[in-house]
Amino acid sequence: MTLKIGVLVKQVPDTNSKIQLQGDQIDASGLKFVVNPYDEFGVEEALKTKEIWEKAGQKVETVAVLLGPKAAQKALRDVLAVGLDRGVHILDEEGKASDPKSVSEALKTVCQEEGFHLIFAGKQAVDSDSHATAQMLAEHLKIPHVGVVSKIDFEGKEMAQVERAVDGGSKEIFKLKLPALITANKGLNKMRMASLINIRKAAKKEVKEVPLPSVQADWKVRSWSLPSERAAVKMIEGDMNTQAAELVRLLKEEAKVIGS
Amino acid sequence: MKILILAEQSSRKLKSVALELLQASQGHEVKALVFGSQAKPAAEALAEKCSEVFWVSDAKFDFYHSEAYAKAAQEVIEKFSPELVLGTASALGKDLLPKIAARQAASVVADCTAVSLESGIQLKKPFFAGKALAEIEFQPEAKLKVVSLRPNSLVVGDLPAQSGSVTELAVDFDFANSPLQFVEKKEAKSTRPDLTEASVVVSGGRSLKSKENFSIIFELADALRGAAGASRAAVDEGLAPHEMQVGQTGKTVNPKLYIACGISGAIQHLAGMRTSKVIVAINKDPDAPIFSKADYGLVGDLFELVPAITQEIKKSLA
Amino acid sequence: MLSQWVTAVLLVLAFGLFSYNFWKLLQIILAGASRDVWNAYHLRLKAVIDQVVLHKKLFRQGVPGLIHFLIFWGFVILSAGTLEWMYMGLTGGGKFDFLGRTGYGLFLLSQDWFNSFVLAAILVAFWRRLVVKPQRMRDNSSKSRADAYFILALIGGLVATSLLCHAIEIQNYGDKALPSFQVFSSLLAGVLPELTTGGWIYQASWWLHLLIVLVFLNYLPFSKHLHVILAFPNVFFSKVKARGELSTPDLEDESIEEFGAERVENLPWTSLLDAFACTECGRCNEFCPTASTGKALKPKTLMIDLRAAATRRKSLYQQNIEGNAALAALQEETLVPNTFSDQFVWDCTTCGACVEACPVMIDHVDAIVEMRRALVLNRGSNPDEATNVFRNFETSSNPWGLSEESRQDWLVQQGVPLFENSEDFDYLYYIGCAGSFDERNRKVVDSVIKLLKKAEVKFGILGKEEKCNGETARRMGNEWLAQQMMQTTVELLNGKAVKKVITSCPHCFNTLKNEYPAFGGQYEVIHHSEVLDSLIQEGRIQPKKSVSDSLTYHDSCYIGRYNDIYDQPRRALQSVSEKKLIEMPRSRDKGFCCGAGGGRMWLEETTGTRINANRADEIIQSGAKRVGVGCPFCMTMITDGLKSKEREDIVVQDLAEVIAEAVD
Repeated sequence: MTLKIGVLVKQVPDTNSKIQLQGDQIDASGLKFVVNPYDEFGVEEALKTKEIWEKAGQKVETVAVLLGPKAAQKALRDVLAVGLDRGVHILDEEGKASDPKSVSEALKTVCQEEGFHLIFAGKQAVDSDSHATAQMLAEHLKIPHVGVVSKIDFEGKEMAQVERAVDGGSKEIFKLKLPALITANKGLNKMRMASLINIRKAAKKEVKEVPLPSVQADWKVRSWSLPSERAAVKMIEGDMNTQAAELVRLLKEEAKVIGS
Repeated sequence: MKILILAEQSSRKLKSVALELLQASQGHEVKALVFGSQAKPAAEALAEKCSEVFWVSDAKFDFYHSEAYAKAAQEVIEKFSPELVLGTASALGKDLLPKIAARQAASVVADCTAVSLESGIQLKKPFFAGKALAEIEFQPEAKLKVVSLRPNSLVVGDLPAQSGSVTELAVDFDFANSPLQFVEKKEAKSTRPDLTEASVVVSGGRSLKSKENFSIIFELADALRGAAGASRAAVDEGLAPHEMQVGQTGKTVNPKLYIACGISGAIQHLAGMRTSKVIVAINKDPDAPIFSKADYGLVGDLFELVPAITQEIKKSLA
Repeated sequence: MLSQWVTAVLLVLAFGLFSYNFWKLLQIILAGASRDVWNAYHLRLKAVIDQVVLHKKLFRQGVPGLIHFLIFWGFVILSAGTLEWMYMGLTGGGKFDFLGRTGYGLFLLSQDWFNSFVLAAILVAFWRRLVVKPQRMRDNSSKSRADAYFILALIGGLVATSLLCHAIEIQNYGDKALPSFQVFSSLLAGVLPELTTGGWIYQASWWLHLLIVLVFLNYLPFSKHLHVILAFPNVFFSKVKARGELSTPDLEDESIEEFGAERVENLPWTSLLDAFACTECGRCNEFCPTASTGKALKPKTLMIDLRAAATRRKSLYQQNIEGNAALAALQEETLVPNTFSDQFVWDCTTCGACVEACPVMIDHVDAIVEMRRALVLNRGSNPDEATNVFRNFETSSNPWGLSEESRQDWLVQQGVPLFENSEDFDYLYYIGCAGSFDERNRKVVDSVIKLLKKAEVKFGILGKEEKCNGETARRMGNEWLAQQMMQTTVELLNGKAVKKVITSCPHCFNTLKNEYPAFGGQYEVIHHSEVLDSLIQEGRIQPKKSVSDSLTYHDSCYIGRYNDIYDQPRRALQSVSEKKLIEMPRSRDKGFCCGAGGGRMWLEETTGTRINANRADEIIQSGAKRVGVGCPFCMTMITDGLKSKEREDIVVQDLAEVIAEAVD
């Protein structure tokens, strides 16, 4: 029997993009869209896992699942070019699935039909930065998950030992019985490059388009605003001890980046 | 409104962000949930500021286990039936809150930087790594709301004293037969965090002049529990190993705080760290290009300034 | 009569054997990919005249060049003598005296002089190899050295026997042998004891001469002296389009399943001809920045190993592979890693020093790019740092991944006009990524703009519409990405009806000028060093001679060697310098790369010593206090190189900055 590995993929604006508003909406015209960088780690890990299991004589199929408008299918083709076998595109032209609840419910339908043995996702999407959808999907599918994983060792096809990064650089180590869901952190791997040969093959791979199941979002964005532009550098004067004390005070009280 | 706070403790002390959660919940009926056999002091501290604290005191809950924790939260929610679950956007909160929400057919608004509960629920949440800020609106159908707050987002004022109770909660969870097994927690004490994951990075440049002098960079990094980096020039000169190189051909970092010590700021370096939230530049040359990219700049001798800052940090975090 | 038959049989055997071996060799070479070479005959002929007839490249090296020139022409002229020798053997003593007394006399004169010259040259060559031992020859393998001695001995024997036989003929036939035309042979005849043409010494010399000729002929296909035969076709079939124009494969062609040079036979046959024409003289290694700094890549090794790989695979072309495991395994062998390491292929800075140095017009760089293409397009295999750059090009159209919104923002804020259409502007100033984003190189752009304004040149910029032109992606083998980038910029420029383009970056310059025509972009492209030079010449900017520091100029490969812009930047710099410009030993066509070309700017340099440090040493030794550059990458590399030598006191400036300082 073929084991199926699912990979959740989202298309997001490139992190180098400058976000601008048109009225009170995000101006998408100047944005370049890419595969969510954390999802890339999931893609690579799926390919690696397939290689490991196939070496052990197990047939494996890797399936990318994406939710988004038709235009987002580029991201699916991109990950197929890297090597995933086929794609499922849940079409959501109007952005009805706008929060982690609605997206995870829509994904649940497809994942149940596919019957994935293992699901990879990025630890978060870099547009909404919610780091929630994958865990909610695992819960809907009633399978365990471990999030923010930077190391995976499989013990056969039914068990994996994973290392998860927590605050302050500590690591939590878990054993996970499959079927399960794992969200990937930086450091897990680096996605291979798509060769032109594979880009061409990807164009011929199967992408199944399915309509958005009836889902209900709990929340949406009422209005957008942009943070104030980075202010000019604040030069800290004085003798060395004054400089040091003032810097630490500013980092704590103004920038709020230390002291928690 | 009934609010359940998911509080965290470390080393037998309530984490200060819990006070922010309490601050946000002022004027509402608040209960809290804490985990672990070590959490008694935290539970007691919380009880002084809310009506009831559920303390899962079983030592099996000393380490995070998503399935067990979710079961505990589920039991409390069923008992208390809150409208809002409020937690922290920490490693634990980010992992657990969505799971709790999914069990209640609810959603999550994660990593909010502003929470106001004075009239309804007013939330602000950054998108695109903080490049845009969204005001969130709940649908009327939404029953339970699950929200996480980014630490250091709210100013904590005087919280009125309450004399809440601490309720020890025994959760019936079958650890042995769970598909998820906790193995161990590796504390990060001795090793610095990985450069690419670190929330603080301190980097040194060629002007450190020797391998030995790099110790002042490490000391500052350690004081901030951050990672140490280096410029390409420093690596080329053999002052630091290539794994420490930040920049175009080295690692790309994205910390909350980046401190560049004696780095002039060539574009090859900027390419690897420009998305850092707050950039501090320390350089003897006031015209160094790094200052045009920095938030805070210090002109002076880094061999004096860096140890002085390390001392200040140690003082402030003590 | 017997000797006539013996001669005939020997000739048939020798030429037969030669033809057989040469045919096998041709099969190996022609197994390479097709390449259209039947064009531009005038250029090809000119190359042959310049390099074969006149030895232009070889003469750049003085004495060794002259020696080769003499050996070559001696060889050609003596070949006529060899023909007479064979004619003599076949006719039983016939001579070319049917040319008439004067004609034959001149023929003999040429033989006499050249026999003597070549003998002298051979003695000098032995002396150089045994006594002087120049570095590039010391690098040679012992096999290669033995080969050289063997061939020199053969040639020496050839001319010595010829002189000897002619001298004996003079002794025997007297005036009939036209001694007045044969000065050296006559001298020899005078000092030799009396000998007869029937005697064993004459006979032995005569047959030895013929044998040497035939042995030589059959030794050729197996030695580096194959260049005696292949140099001529190699020069004739060498690249006639601009050196800076890479080939343009059709990536849309669905029938092609492998791109670039995955295997040796994927290289164009002209590259395989290169490999067999290589004389192993080592001039390429001498000038190569990676070979000079102890890295894996050595251009001579590239040719020697290509030759070996091609020869190894010849059995594939001649036999049935099916069912033959050894052949099937051989078929699977790829250039990387079986013949070359990844490091070898990625080391190259594409500076073209090897190509420039090669006397037989070998193109090493194009072969390397073909191998990179195979790695990237077929396998997606390249250094990690390259992946980052490719991605940045894709998302942000610049190598650093900086926001496109900020490209040239400071210029737009200053009110530098945007190029909308060619009616309002004479020139488009295409600034390039480094000038658009890098603080240091932005200052260069400021200087260029100041000078253009001063001279009232009507120019516009593209602002945030400008995109990277694809040069770097192309030289890093990512042809797929490069072609998309090139098409995008061609469409942008054509949409604005751009006719003349000024560039600041030599890499942009080369690609816009030499590679864009193939993509439908025909522009007059000028580097800012050319513009500034002509503005000074025309008096439109009048800089003062205000630079009192000693000044040197570091050639950029892509305006220098690739596009022959050597004089303009020097003249422009000289116009502001009180002192005469210092020339470094490695300058102009021998200029030493800064280490950044061919995408190396974006890759780590972890092996050998650093190329920019090597160049920095040369700058320090020149005694110059300032270095003029004309390329943003050279600017970065040279600055870093001098920093690493703790010589930040030596100022690195673009020539535009030096001139701008001298203009009010």
